[in-house]
Amino acid sequence: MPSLTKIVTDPLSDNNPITVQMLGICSALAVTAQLPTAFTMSLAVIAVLTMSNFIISLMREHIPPKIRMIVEMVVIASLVIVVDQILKAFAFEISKQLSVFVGLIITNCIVMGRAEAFAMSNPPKASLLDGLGNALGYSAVLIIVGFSRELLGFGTVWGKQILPESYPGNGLMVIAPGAFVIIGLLIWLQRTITKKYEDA
Amino acid sequence: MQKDEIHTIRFAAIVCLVCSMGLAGVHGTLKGKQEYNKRIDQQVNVLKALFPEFTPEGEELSMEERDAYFTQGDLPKSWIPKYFDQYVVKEDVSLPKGKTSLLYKLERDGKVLAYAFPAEGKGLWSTIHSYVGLQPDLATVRGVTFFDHGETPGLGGEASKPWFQRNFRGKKLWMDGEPVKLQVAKGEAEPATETNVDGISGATITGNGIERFVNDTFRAYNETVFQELRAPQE
Repeated sequence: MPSLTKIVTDPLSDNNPITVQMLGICSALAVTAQLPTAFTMSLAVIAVLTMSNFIISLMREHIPPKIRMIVEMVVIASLVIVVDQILKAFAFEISKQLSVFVGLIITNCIVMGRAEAFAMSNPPKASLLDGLGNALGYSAVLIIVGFSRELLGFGTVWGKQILPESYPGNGLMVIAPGAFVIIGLLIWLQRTITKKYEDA
Repeated sequence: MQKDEIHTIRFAAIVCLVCSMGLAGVHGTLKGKQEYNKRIDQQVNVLKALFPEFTPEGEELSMEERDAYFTQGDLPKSWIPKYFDQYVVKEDVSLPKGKTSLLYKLERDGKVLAYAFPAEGKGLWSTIHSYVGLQPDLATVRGVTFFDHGETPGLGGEASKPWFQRNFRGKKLWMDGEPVKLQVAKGEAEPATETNVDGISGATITGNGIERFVNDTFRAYNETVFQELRAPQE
């Protein structure tokens, strides 16, 4: 088993869930038009993924193989609902903007993917860190994409005007396809730096 | 084999029980706060349409100050329900074709300062909800608010921004004893008149949707509710 530090740091870049594993792209497109929603979504995923990996790992030796995935789904769905409820109570405005996307964390491939690939076969502490690492890797991408889209799309950062008022805003960045462009550039940049390429 | 299946069923039952109890607990704990948020949100939207120029302390507010209050969340949330209960009267009204709806009145010292009615309809992607506030003449728009929509952020989504909603103020829905069509322009309204509103460039379909449902809802109210309200003065 890799060292505990490596479990956390690996998914930040070398094994990033979005840019390398290509998971969770859907929500990365949907909630990154502006930074605050991207940030809140990141927190939600960090909470869900860390907890779900931990809980599933705790139960891993008792989960009957036949209903393995259903049990994982129930745990993940419950955690997502809790997060959604908390947002509705304490961050109402942002929960309205995130609307269905918090609920859709249930179907985020990263969460189920980590449960299957890691938590089912590793002890709780390592699983928790793996969940945290992957969630942070996901968050890093969301924040970078959110920052770029808000800056180029609206000329603002976290709602504050940064580019001159005369900046007209870039309509492409405001809509989901803009996120594709940013994520594509990000992957290009990352692979150029790390020199790791997919085999053709 | 038999033992395995019993284990499976027992495990599933325990997981379901624990999860459902946990969720019920969380929901029960947070329910009050969530409903409070929802109520405030709805009341703020009604107040935006009614356009109160005054605070509970009786201070006059400029349009900009009021916008800042209601959009930045500077307004102490705690007094919104109090304010609402004190000044806003909610009435059930009947519309043509047997429909019923609501009419909000902003009252102070027994005088109606503004009316507001809910309106909703399709934009480009989603249903847009809104309240339309009218002056006591039941002809001039006092304030509007658009909310709870799924329009493109930065384009149709600008409908929920103060700058767009401000464009409606002072526009007419009723002139010379009959309803007039309020028009939402594509971008800047040219020439500017009392019945056209500066729209959002690049969001024509959202604008058309808003134009349609605001006019239609006004006409529906006009046929029944507003006719009755106008009658005594004429």
